[in-house]
Amino acid sequence: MVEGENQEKGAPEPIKVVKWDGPTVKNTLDDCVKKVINENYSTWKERHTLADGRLFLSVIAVGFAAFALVYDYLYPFPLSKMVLATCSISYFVLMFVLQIYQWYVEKTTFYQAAENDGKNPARYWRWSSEMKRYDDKYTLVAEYTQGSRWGSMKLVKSIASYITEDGEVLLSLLKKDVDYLRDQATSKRE
Amino acid sequence: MGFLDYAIFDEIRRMNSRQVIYQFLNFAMIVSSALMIWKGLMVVTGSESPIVVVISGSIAFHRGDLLMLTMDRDDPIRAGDLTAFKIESRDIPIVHRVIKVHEKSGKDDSKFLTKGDDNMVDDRGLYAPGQHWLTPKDVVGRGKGFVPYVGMVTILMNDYPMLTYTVLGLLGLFVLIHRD
Repeated sequence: MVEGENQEKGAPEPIKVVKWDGPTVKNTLDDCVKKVINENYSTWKERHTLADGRLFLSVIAVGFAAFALVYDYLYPFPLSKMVLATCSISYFVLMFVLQIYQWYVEKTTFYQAAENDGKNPARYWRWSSEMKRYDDKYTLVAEYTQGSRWGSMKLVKSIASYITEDGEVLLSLLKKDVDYLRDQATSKRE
Repeated sequence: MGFLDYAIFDEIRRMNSRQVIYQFLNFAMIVSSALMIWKGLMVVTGSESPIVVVISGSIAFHRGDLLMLTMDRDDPIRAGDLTAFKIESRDIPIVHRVIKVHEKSGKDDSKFLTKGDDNMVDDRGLYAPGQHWLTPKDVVGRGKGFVPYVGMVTILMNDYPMLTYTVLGLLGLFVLIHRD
């Protein structure tokens, strides 16, 4: 799709983003961090427990709505009153629970992994990021827990450190900072 | 250039299967929220169509007004009430005023006659052939309140179905390909 001097045969497609679209830039950088980790850290295995929790809650909520729809279709209104009332209330309660889950449990986490090097107990990593509206500063946080130990490290950098004039994300630069965060988080003794 | 190669699809191309599933669930949740609000209103007001749009106006209600209906079978219908009723074989409810009520001992035995405020004659011409009175079974709800103009969107979507499909299609697409 993209032709340029940098495009070699068989090279992976360069990751491009509209650099002025804040939310998309953050999501793209998050995806790139995941890519860098998954492709380079062989002892790390990605976990999806938080995302699965969110999916599970959403499926249950939609399930209630779907059930109400079908029931009301089969047994039209006044008969379906109790079912509709129950499903409606349950749906909105679940929506509320989902919102709480996203605010307090998932927060700004976009990546989880379990690091297993065979000899020590597993390290559970949690990477999160933040970027304020209309701001160019990308905050990346790496945290881990290992048994009773834990560590974390934060890095705040402008997105201009990773993205070219044309909107291409330079993975090599990002990898440097990902490595830095991992090393710093694990070297601090808590 | 393949269809998915356009820049606006960048995000969705890079999504893994979990994220794609979540996008569809997001869409489903938006639809479900609308559905649950509608069904919730049905339960709260007790009416099958808690909100209706006025299609042919009168002095009291203009075309495009949104009408809120409640349905309380225990509250007897009285002359002067604005009721929404359906004639057999017609889908669209009519909202007119009750001008005459005949009641016997049971509530379900009442009969009533309606007339539009602007009309010179009563509604007997609108009823089904052979029907001279309305019964509580024909009533869909009682007018409780209204919001002007808001219903014009529904009328437009009804008159120009292509508009509905295009708008909903675009909204759906937007929700599916954008995260958050």
